[in-house]
Amino acid sequence: MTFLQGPILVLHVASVVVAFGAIALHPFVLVRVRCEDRRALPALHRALRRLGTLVVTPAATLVLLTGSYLATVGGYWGELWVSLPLSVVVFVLGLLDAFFAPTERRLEALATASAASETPSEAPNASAAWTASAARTASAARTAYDALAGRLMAVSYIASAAIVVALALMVLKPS
Amino acid sequence: MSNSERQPAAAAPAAGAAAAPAAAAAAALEPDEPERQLTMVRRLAIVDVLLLAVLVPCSLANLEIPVAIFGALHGGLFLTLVTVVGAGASERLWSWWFPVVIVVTGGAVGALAGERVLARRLSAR
Repeated sequence: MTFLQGPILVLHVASVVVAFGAIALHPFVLVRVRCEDRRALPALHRALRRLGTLVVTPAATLVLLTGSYLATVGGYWGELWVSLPLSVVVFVLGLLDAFFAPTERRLEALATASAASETPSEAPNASAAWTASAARTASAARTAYDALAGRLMAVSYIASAAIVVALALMVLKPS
Repeated sequence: MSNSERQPAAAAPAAGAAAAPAAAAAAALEPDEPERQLTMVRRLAIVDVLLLAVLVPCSLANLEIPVAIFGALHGGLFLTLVTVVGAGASERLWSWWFPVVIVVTGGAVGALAGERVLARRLSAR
């Protein structure tokens, strides 16, 4: 092992924990907040989107860079336990940009629409027609939100399963 | 996208029937979503085409290490494309033929062809 390999291996493993741990915990956090306080959902999705942009994507990129360095120095390119996890990292990075970020943005908008329409009007002369229209909007936003959140969780589970397969390959190193 | 592309609730199978109100609500609240997702699919497919443009010559020249690297990158993007387009199909933004075409053609070619077809239908709407 060269002078740099040790620290870079530590950085690689730490990046894996940070990037992929956040993705694995994502469905759990979403389910808990949905059950306990739906009014907190817009803030949750804003926070998750920032987490994805500021923490998960840079950490996953670091996994890719440090892994590439270690594979090059160790001469491991071409091994199954390097190629498949590389595919999984690219898969997760692609999903972060092409699925998770836009879906979080949509969920935030739907949760905001739902919460805004559910909030009782403070105007003393709010008409019954306005109230009925707001209720319909809230119901539609909530239905769309629940369906989209279910889809987000399903993709999170798929990503987590791919990550577990990659981890198993890295640890067991089948030839 | 034509109206027939967004499948009506009556045509949905029993398991998908519950998704119809959600799809209708989402369509009413986010009318531009199909265009946005198609743009994303096009971006992914173009990157995949560029990777294939490197991967195929490397493969023909029997360069093992570049093939391992670019093959893995292509594999990851293929999985991303299938997942993103499959999620769009489950949302009824388009039919299931789109992810099937991507799987059958191995990624970029089917994604670009399907994206062109759907974009034409959207602009005709």
